[in-house]
Amino acid sequence: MPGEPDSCAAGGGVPAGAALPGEAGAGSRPRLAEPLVEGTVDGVRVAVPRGATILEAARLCAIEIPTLCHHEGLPPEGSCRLCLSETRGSLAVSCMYPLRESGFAALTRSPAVLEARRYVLSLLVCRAPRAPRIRKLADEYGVSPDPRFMRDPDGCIRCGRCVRACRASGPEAIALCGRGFARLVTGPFGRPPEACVGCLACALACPTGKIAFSERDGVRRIWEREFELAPCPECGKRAFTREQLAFLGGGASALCHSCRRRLMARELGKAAALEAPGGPALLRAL
Amino acid sequence: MPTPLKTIAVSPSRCIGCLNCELACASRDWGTLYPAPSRIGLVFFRDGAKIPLTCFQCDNAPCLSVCRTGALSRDARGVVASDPARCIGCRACSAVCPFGNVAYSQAARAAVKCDQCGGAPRCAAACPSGAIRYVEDQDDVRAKREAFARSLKSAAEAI
Repeated sequence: MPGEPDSCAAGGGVPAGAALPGEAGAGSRPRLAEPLVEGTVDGVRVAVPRGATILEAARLCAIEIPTLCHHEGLPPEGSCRLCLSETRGSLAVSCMYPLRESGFAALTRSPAVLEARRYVLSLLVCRAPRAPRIRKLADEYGVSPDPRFMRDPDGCIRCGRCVRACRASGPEAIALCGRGFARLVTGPFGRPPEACVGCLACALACPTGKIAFSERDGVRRIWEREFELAPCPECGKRAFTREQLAFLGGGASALCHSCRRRLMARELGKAAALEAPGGPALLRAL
Repeated sequence: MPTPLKTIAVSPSRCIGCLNCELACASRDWGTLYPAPSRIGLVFFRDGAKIPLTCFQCDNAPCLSVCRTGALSRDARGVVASDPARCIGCRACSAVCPFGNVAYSQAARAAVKCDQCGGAPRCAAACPSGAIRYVEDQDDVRAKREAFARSLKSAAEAI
């Protein structure tokens, strides 16, 4: 029944990990508290919490819609245009289009959708002709790059996923700026981003693998900047950049997680030893 | 904060160091029998003491407070679970966990931590000696834990 989390119609599926009230979340996810709305995706009947997107409804039906700029942990931006679907007789961006009323009928593979998707892909493949994901999609849809738009194929499709990842993780070091062919992801004033902490969230978010980074001799390089990876005070293993630890403040430390566990275990052992019969001997042993 | 209905209880004195818990955990989603990516870790000391450690599901969990994408969330059982689809790999949770119980997995491209296997922890099932048990979090368990926390505090102060 509407509003009850258990009554979701689609094979017992509620959108994965619907957040509890009061817990952290990007806010883009429909809440289970919302009443359900019913409709169809490619003719498959589905019920989703009001405000869920076409993409979420399709995934509940196990219908695949290709996406590039979409990331479940980040606010949607609808910039890659790959997830187009047809609803109410016009094209809609599936990852952004909220379903608010019952009776929706989305089509994810109609002729109009496929034609639009091929066109979008023919533009994307001009930007990133070598990216494995784009090539795979281009092969799947039988698309080749349009030579008219093949200008400076630098591998970036300007989807802004890196920018959103950076904003979400805190530093807001990079942004998309410029328009048309001049549009690109950059630090302020086109210089290496000063606010970057070298966490690599942008590089991992990038759907084309365009954001290059390297790690050698305890130094991580990304965005034309160098970050020293702080050595673990116990074992010397390097896991986090000094900048990221400073950015995270108080609780963060350069201790690697196995050394943290080890220190914790030592404390626990001491605590247990104080309680145990013959404890001091065990305490000395630790 | 909701209280876990059941919790993983660890008794280091019963641990025989067989590493079944680590293997059971690691085999969960990587399908390997290689213990490194395990969410539970056995810490060995030179004198032979062994202490299995995994996430304490802290009430004021630092990992949860730094996660800005909702990849970590607390479920109805009070367990902090990681959703790889929402993780952007910033590793902040891993850097702030005081106990080293949140790791970043290159293979999964996401933070991995103990979520008690959604209610049927494999480590407890695999433990042959009862060092890791999945028990009702009732008053007596809670009292023991609080006593243990107190002694932990006094030990920390005694250093």
